[in-house]
Amino acid sequence: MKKMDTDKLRQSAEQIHLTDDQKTRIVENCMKHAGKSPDTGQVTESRHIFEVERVQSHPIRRVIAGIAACAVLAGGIGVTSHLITRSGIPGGATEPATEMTEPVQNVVPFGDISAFCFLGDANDNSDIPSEGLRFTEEQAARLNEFFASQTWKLIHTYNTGDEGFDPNFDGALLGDSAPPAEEYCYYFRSYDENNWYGDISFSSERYLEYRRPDPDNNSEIVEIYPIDAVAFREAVDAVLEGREMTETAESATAETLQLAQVPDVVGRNVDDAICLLGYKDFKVKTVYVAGEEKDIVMSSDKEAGSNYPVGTLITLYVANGTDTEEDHGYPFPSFTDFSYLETVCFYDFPDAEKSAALDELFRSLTWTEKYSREYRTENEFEEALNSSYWGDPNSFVNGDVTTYCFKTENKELGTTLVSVSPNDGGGVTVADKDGLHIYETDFDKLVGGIGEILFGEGLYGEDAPFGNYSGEWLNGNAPKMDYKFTSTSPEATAVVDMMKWMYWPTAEDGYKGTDEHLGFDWFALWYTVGDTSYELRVYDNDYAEWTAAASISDHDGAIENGTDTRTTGLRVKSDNLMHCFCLMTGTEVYPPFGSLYKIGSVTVNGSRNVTDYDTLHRLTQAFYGYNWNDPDTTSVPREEPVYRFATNINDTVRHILIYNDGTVSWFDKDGSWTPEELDGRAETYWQIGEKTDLCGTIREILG
Amino acid sequence: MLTAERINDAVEEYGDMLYRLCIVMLRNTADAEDAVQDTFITYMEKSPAFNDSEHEKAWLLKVASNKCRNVLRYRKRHFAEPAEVLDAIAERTPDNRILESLMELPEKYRSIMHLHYIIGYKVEEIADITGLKSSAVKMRLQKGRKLLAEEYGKE
Repeated sequence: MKKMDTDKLRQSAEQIHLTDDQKTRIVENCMKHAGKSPDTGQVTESRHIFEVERVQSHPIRRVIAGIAACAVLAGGIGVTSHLITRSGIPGGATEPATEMTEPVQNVVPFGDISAFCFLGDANDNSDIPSEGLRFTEEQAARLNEFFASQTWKLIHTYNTGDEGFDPNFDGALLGDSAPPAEEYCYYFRSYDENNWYGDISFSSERYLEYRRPDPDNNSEIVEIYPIDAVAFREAVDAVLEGREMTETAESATAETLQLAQVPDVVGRNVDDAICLLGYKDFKVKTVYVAGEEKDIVMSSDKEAGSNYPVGTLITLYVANGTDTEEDHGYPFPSFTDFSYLETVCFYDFPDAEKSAALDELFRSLTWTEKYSREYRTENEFEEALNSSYWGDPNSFVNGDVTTYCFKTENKELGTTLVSVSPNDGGGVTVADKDGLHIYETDFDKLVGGIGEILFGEGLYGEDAPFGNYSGEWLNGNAPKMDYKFTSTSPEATAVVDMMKWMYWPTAEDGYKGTDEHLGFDWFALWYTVGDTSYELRVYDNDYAEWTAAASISDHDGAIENGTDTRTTGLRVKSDNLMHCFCLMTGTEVYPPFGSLYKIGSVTVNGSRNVTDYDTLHRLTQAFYGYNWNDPDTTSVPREEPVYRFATNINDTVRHILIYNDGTVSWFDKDGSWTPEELDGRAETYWQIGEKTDLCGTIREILG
Repeated sequence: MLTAERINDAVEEYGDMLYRLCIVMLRNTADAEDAVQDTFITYMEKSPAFNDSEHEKAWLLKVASNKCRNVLRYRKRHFAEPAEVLDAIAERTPDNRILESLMELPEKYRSIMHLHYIIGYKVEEIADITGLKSSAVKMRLQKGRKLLAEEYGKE
């Protein structure tokens, strides 16, 4: 920047002054505040703070308040409600927990539940079965009766297409920060072949979220209602299981109307903050993070000024007195800030004890920054998630192998993604608010240490699958896909690299491989070192067997294989591993139109709607295992398809056509359609079914 | 607790500086005045012991900057146009255009640019005030300069 421009900028800014009136007001209000504040007793002090007269209304604020008021009238209390309540100084919103003045209604906001034909697990990874269902009339009537007995109080609404919508509020409920698996999270969905009409989700965080399309803006309208989630779960379970509701369910909303406004505690001493929040009957969790002003609250996971049911847990991020993040001893936030963890080998989420152990592990390592750059795209999170270091120090490319991935959404620290990757000999990618960074450290100790802490007993390093592999011939086999490779190709090396950096938890005794889940029996990789052959056989129920079979030479020198065999049962995330396997070997054994059982509903030939989990699972299996990587792109006139499957995901209807000769094609088409419109649209066909009579298999499954 | 005289002195000494920062960050005179007032209330409540006037100034800027960020967290859609804000509080001159351009930058750049080019802090000092790493401050200054040049060159 030129000096002349700098001078202009400074001169221009220096024209800005507080007027004498403004200064007087500020000093007077400071003194009023001081006069009413006792030396001790934060609650009393807070009440007095609330009474402090604010600066005079300003025309701009009046306009804003007017807009906010209009928004409230038009759409209930939304994010704009902050503007109305904001006129208090921080900490000013400390009136005791009381019923709020938002409209309370007994009209069920989402209407007749029978329109919501699908019940699922919002996280799609918990133990809750995710089979679709259609309620019987009796079930729908009981659910309607239950919902009608509740009192519905809208506490928050927003439109996802609105520039001002608050993604933090959204994420805190059901979005990115999904509750742990043991905390259920049902949702009901209303949709048909052509349209999605809405979702009702309820979580253990004491909210019900009603989300529906806003076709005018191509976005979604979201409404949040407080509920007693435990009681709701019990009530829904009772209805679905055909039994009486418990007392807990019947008293579902007994406490939900008790809302309180979250005071602004940022900048306060943690004891004061706990006192203020406790006074409003909130529960408080404190997490200490890097920050110079010891014991001062740096941020909170609940927005000041927003309304939450009393008893809600509020997490405060408190400065631990250290100057910068480096004082942790490692270049990313304390592990206690992390809200998300994914590993290539298995899922788990660390509790407080494990978090502390991870912190200790990270501190014990030396971290050296190897590379750093700013983001290059608007979508920083996606860029971070898909970036890794791969040889070229001037660029990040998509990472093939990520052993562990941690993510935090601490407001003060921003989103930080830590990806542990063996690429280029081992590095840790840290993606934070400033950009992407690569750190070197003792990778063996890091990956093995994390594995031990998270998963307990297991194999790692030389003892683990492929730990002793050193470039010998590698053999691979996956039944049904009829695929084998025997090579020392780069692809095989990539597979081996991935295996080598994994931590393999040992399975409990008695755990056996099955083929009930993903549609393949198993796949295997094996190699030999000296006289011993090693085989990893991965089953689809998150289980693998690692077998070392020593060959023993008899006195004539003949080799007898497998006379000294040791097999270890291991836990592994089979589908993750299979996907990695496919990616690295350039094969694709999963059909490109998705797994039908995960989609949850398929319409067959325009009339029959299949939602039964077992049937969908068997259909998924029918398509699995062929080489979907090699389509035929020549458009060939064909006979009418025998089967037309239609799935609906987010308003997009996906058509899958299965022909008599075993050919499969698929394409997406929105809106209504006729069979004539469909035929001839596909440009890509897969000739997969000849060998197994695909149509016959499907006919058998559908009955 | 500080005396009225001390608060008065502090407002006289630092009020304009804080108000400028808050105006640039919040683009709204009423909220800027609120933020300045909140800053002085915190100043009075905590009555921190400062090593010298530079320490005091940096502390106030840090608190004001945090207050502004708190406001920005839930008020993203109600920015006024920079020209409108500046018209209300300062005489319009050709030189205002560059300040208007600065106020058009994303928040994370304009606060750092303000501290560097208007108040005159060095990179390390800004890192101290904002809690950012020096490398991050440098990056933001670099990107901020580029964005400012683009914005200023529009008209």
